[in-house]
Amino acid sequence: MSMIKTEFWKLKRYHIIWAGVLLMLLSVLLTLFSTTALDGTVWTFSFFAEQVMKNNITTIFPMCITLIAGYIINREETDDTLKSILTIPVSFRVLLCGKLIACALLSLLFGVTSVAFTVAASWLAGFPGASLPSVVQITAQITLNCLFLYIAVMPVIAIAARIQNGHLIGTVVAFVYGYGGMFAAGNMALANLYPVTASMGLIGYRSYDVSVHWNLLHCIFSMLAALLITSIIVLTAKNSAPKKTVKKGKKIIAKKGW
Amino acid sequence: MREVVIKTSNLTKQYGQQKSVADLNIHVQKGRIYGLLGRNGAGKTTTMKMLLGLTQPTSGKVSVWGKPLSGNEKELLPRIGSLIESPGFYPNLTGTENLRIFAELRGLTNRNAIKNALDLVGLPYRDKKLFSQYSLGMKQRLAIALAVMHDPELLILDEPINGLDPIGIAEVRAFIRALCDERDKTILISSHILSEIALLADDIGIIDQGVLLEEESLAELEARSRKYIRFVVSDAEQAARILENSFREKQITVQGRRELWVNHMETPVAKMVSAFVAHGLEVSEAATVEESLEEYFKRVTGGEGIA
Ligand SMILES: Nc1ncnc2c1ncn2[C@@H]1O[C@H](COP(=O)(O)OP(=O)(O)OP(=O)(O)O)[C@@H](O)[C@H]1O
Ligand SMILES: [Mg+2]
Repeated sequence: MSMIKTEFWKLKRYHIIWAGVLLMLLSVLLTLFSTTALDGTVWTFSFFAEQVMKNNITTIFPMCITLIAGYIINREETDDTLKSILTIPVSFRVLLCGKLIACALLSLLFGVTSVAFTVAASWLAGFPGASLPSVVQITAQITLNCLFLYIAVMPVIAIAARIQNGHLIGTVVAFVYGYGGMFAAGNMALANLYPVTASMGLIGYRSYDVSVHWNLLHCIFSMLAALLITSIIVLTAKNSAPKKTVKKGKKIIAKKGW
Repeated sequence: MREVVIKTSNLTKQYGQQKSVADLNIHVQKGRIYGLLGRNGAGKTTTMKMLLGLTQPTSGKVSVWGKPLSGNEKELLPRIGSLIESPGFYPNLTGTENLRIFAELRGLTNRNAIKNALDLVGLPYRDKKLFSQYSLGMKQRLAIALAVMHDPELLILDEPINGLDPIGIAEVRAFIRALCDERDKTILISSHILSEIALLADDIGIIDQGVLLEEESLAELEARSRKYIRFVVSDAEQAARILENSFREKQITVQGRRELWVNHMETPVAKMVSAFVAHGLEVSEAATVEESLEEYFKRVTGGEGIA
C-alpha cells in the first residue's frame, strides 16, 4: 500500500504528467479537426466522443501511458534513488509492482482528463445530444477504456522496464501496437482477441452497430492474457535494475504526435 | 576483542578481466569507527555495495552480526543506514518530501524522525527548496540525514564529507563521533583523504587496487610509524663509522654525502654529536624526526601515497 502511496507522492511537480495531459488534449483536438474535414457526417456529442475514443485507442493513449510509465519506472535509475530503495530493503520486483498499479490509477485519471476535454470541446463546438445519461455513459466508457488500454500495453511497459533506457523504445513499440488496432478492428474475431481492440469490446464500443458483435469472453481472456504475461515478466525480474551500459548519447526518438 | 559486526571472507568482485576487489577480509568491530582508506578506484565503493547487497560478489562472503548477508537481507538491512557514492533523490521534491517517501517505505512510525534527521545535518525542516536546487553540500547533508533517519545500529558511509565546506566537515565529523561514542553505533566510513580518517577512525583498513594492505587500529599504526634522528654533517660516511665503532649503532642509513639517519635511539643525541666533533667533523643539524602517517601510507601503498 505504501508502495502505491509513495509513487503518487513522487509525482508532485513532475512535468512528465503534464505531457500526458497535453497528449490527452491533443487526442481531442485531432478529433475536433477531423469534424471540419468530414462532410455529410452529423456530429453529435456521442459520435464525437466515439471518435475521441478511436483516436485514444489507435494513436495517443498506448504511446502516452507507455511513455509516462516508462519515465516513472526509469527515474529510480536516472535519479539514482534505486540504491536507497533496495537497501530498505524493497526488491525491484515489489517496486515495479507498485509502479504498475500506480500507473493503472494514473490511467483512470488520464481517462477523466480526456472526458473533461471531450465534454468541453463538444460544448464549444456546439454538438447536440449531450444529455446527462450520454455524458455519464461516455465518462464511464472513456475512463474504463483507458484502464483497459493500459492493461493491453502493460507487457510492453514491463519488458521495457527490464531494458536499460527501454522506455523510449517501448513507447515506439506501444505506438505501433496501438496503431495495429486499426487493422485488427477490420476482422471481428481478431478484434476480440487483440488486446488493444479488446479494450473497446469491454466498454461496448459501437455495440449498437449491427456489424459489431463483441465477444466479451474473448475480450476478457485477452486482458487476462496481457496481465498474465506482465506478471510473468515482473516475477522473473532480477532483484536489481537493468545493467548499466556505458554507452552514452542515446538517440532521441521522434515523439510522434507531439 | 569486541564483537565483530561486519566480517568479509575473501570477498572478491571481478568486472570483466579486472578485479576491483580481491580477497578482501575486513573486520568492523561493534561501537567503533572503521575507516576504509584508499585512492580513487581502489575499490571502496564496490566493497560497500557488496556489503549492502547492491552488487553480488564474484566470490567470497559477507557476514553482518554473525549472519551471512545473502538470504538475510530482510532482517539485516533495516538495521543498517547507508550512503553510497553521490546522493540520489527525487529532484522535483523538497528535502523533507524526499525523506517522507523513504520514511513511509521503511514504515517509520516516529513522526519526529524526519525532523530530527534534518536537524542533525543542519537542514531546515519543511523548506520550500527543491532537491534540484540544492547545493552539493546540501545534497550530501540530505543523504546523511537519510542514512541516519531510521536510527540504524550500523552506518555504512561512502565518502560522507564529499562536497562539504570545512565547517560542515567538522560538524559531520563531530556527529559521527557522537553517534559512535554516545549511542554505541558501529560505523564504516570510506575516504581517500588520510587526514580525515586519521581524525575520525578508531581502526583503519588500507585498500589499494582492491587489495587490503593493512588493517590496524589507529593507535597501533601511529606507534608503528618510525622515529629516527637525522644528522647533517661534513662527512656522512665517516660519521657512520664513528657511530658504529664508538656506540655499536647498527641501524644507520647514509643519505647522500652529508646526511645520516639513525634509527636506534639508545645513545643520547648529545653524545653522538660530541663524538663527531671530537673526530673533527662539522655538525650543522641534528634533529629527531617522526615519520608522519602520510609517509607511512606512502610506504605501504608503494610510493605514490594517498590524498
Ligand atoms: N559497474 C562497473 N563496471 C566495471 N568496472 C567497475 C564498475 N564499478 C566499478 N568498477 C571498477 O572498479 C574499480 C573500483 O571502483 P570503486 O568505485 O570501488 O572505487 P572507489 O575506491 O570507490 O574510488 P573513488 O575514490 O573514486 O570513489 C575501478 O577501477 C572501477 O573502474
Ligand atoms: Mg567511490
